[in-house]
Amino acid sequence: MSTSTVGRGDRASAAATADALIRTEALGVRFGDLVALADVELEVACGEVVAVIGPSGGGKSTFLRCLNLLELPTSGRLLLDGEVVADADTGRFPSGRPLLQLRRQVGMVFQSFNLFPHLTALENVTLAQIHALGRSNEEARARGLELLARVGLSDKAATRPAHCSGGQQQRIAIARALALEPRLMLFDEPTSALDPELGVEVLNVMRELAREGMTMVVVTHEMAFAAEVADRIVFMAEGRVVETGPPELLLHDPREPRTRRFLEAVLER
Amino acid sequence: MTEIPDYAVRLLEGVRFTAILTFGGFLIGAVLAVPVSALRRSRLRPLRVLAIAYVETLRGVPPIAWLFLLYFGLAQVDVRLSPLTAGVLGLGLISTAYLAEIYRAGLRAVPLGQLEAARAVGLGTVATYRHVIGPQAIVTVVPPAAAFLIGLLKDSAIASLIGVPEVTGLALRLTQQEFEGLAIFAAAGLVYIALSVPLATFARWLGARLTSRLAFG
Repeated sequence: MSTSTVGRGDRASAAATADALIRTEALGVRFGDLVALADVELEVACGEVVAVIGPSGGGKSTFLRCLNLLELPTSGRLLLDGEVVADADTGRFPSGRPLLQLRRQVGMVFQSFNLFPHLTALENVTLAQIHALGRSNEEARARGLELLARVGLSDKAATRPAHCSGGQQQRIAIARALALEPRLMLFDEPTSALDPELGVEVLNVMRELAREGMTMVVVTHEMAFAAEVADRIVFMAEGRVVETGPPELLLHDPREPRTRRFLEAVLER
Repeated sequence: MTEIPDYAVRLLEGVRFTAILTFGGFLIGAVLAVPVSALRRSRLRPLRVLAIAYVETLRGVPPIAWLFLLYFGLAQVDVRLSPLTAGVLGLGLISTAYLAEIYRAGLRAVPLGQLEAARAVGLGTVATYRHVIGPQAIVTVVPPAAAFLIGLLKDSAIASLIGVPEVTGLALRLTQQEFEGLAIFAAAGLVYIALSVPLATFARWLGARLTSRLAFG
């Protein structure tokens, strides 16, 4: 589909013809008899922002969690830079060092923040720098303060998560993920646990990241945000990708009746 | 002023052995329980079964039987342990089983999201447990572990039956010499209380400190 899209869309489609940063081939996840994910084929180019939307239980989170192998696919393959990193069909999954390498390149932000409650905001951001990347304490600290400043939380460096608002906690979580200098950021409904006012702070940080060219896959229910920031929207339901397209097409003129049904339900609210 | 009876002073000589049995046993248990509780969480079923078998075997047999086995039983195959060594070792193995279960409960109390977050930032298993899971689990572990330690302090008295001259063993010996059963055992009881109260106080302080350090809520 190389119809006339504007702005970031152009850049993304140009990038898509180049090498994909991450790609899934026939990716599937079964839990016993339950098919959580089936035959997902998707590639994300460097610098591209992909929003994944769809009904709850439709496989969005499962898909996202496969991209850093928090969830192991039961079929299909996962490729990074064109190289197979996990192949469920042959049962080849990375473990040990290669697995850690993959995770250090892919940052993740969770719906429930999952900050380390016994550590201060700054310690949350420096922990993996020190123990996963092997940076010195001083280097990690300098970088950590920089990142906290970037998400607007310099004044919270010495504060524990329990004393921060939800929006602040999620911004610390973003800084924590960015500390590894990942090439891809995964967001799993980052604002769903926040009231709208606090969600905005988080969305602003994400908007900024996208503008700086970070490659992002965002599972979200925030349609306006997806429309504004995403280069491409993926609509998933019943464990499958129903439809993919640039926001203006997918949100306003979807091909599939299933997509239309979902969007009508969302817009009616 | 009444003179402190001689037997009271002699009872205090037993405190050393009671302390070695209690803390030695607890220390062995606290260390060995780490690999046992790790096996218990293994992805591999045979390893989990092994850990369960270890725990249930140790808990399923009366402690005194373990001490007899180590002291008299091993002597039969020419492994001669001193009463104190057999006592510390026996209490240590039993402690391993109980503390492994206490650790397991502590690890389970840490939300799964913490493990996932640690993995997502690329921490290895050791770093994950040392810096993320461990410091949170310990808050849940301290109170039951302290209760176990105080229990162990009193249970260490069974080592008297293989001849360790700890507080209860000495008290028994003294009664046979002095015919002052009531006073001597009352004194022995006071010695145990004097040892356990500071332990309980310390455990409460440590628990409160750890909880506030975590700043939950």
